Amino acid sequence: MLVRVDPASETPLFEQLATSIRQSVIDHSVSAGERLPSARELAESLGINMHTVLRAYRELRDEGFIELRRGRGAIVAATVHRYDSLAESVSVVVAEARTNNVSLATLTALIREEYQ
Amino acid sequence: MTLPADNVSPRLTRNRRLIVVIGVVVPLLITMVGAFVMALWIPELPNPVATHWGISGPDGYSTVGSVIALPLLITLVFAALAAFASWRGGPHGGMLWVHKFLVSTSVFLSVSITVIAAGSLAVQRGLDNAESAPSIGSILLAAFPVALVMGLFAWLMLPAVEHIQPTGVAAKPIEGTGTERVYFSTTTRLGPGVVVIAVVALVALGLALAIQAVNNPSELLLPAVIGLVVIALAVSTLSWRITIDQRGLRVRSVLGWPRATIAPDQIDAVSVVTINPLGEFGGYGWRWAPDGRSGIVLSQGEAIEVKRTNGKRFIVTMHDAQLGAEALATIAKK
Repeated sequence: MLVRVDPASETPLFEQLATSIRQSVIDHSVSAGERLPSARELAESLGINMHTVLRAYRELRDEGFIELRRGRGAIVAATVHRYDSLAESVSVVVAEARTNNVSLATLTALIREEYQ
Repeated sequence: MTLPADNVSPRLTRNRRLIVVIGVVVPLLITMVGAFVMALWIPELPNPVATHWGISGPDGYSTVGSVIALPLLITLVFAALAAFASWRGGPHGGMLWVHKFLVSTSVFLSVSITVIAAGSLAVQRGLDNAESAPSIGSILLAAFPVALVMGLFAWLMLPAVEHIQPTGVAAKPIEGTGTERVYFSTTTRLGPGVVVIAVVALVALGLALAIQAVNNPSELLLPAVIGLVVIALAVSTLSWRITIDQRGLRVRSVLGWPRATIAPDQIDAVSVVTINPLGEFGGYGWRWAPDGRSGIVLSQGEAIEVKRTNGKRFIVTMHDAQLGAEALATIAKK
């Protein structure tokens, strides 16, 4: 699993962290049932606040990517594979957007409109 | 007509002939000649014969048949193993170091156990009772140099060692801003095939300890301690956690020990290499190769190679080595 954060970026750290871990789950660098590093360990490794990591973990839990259990830490949810077909569909959509020179902002707007 | 065997390079075909002759036929001939000579002595030998010597003389006895059969059996099993393990040859059809070692050891083993078996019977010829058998210390002392010379001779008859040239691909740091921080973690574990072999060996060791516990509890302590240390060491190398962050590269066994850290300022270069555990490291686990490399070698295929500023190279095999190497290169750059 590769996690990248940039403290100089305008995106909040917890959001960068969540995006990075989400990506690892989607591309199978971490598999269902695998334990993520403890919040303290990850915070020390990246030189950031432990509460930032916990906030990212809570966000991922609310999205159903991971389970948080007292004493056992963060575990990649068993139900995570249901994203597999979605990820495939998204890659098809993105490829289509690229060939039509549709910008990311436009694509996001299209998806948001469809979602609501 | 084209047979599948035609795909084998002529070099490998030649080597296989040598493997069969030197690693299987010669050892078996030696043990068979030994068995024949020992069989001729049967009328002059006591029954049972002494097979184990303590400090004050013989303390273990067995039938002549088992003394004659055991070298044959051991040689047969080891020769088969040596031929089987070296059959495929190296990447270019040559013999790797480990192949030559196995084939030469087959000769060494057959000579040493045949000389010891025949020698231990030779001193008992003409005795009425095996209890008065003289010491065989001098035979043991003589057997090893003789076997060693024969093994060395076998090594010299085999073709020169094929060296696997490690062709590393230097890892580039992850593209991004200079302020970015990275964390990478993965686990690396032994493949299922190697685990099965290890489990069989450990179960055999456990059984041997159990038998010892039942038969001879007073002499259990030393074998038990050694056995448990071996089991603990084997288990500790099964699975490793690898972490890469601003503190450098850290590897840690699943039991928490052994562990190692390479700090970022000790890293000179990072590359991705392809590893052949048996060919380059002679096995699996925490390994030292003859060329000075060391590392955690648990699987065939991709690995991270870290060249340290002191010139030493450290290797960790893992399935996502490319990503790991990029992460480590990013950290080493800073």
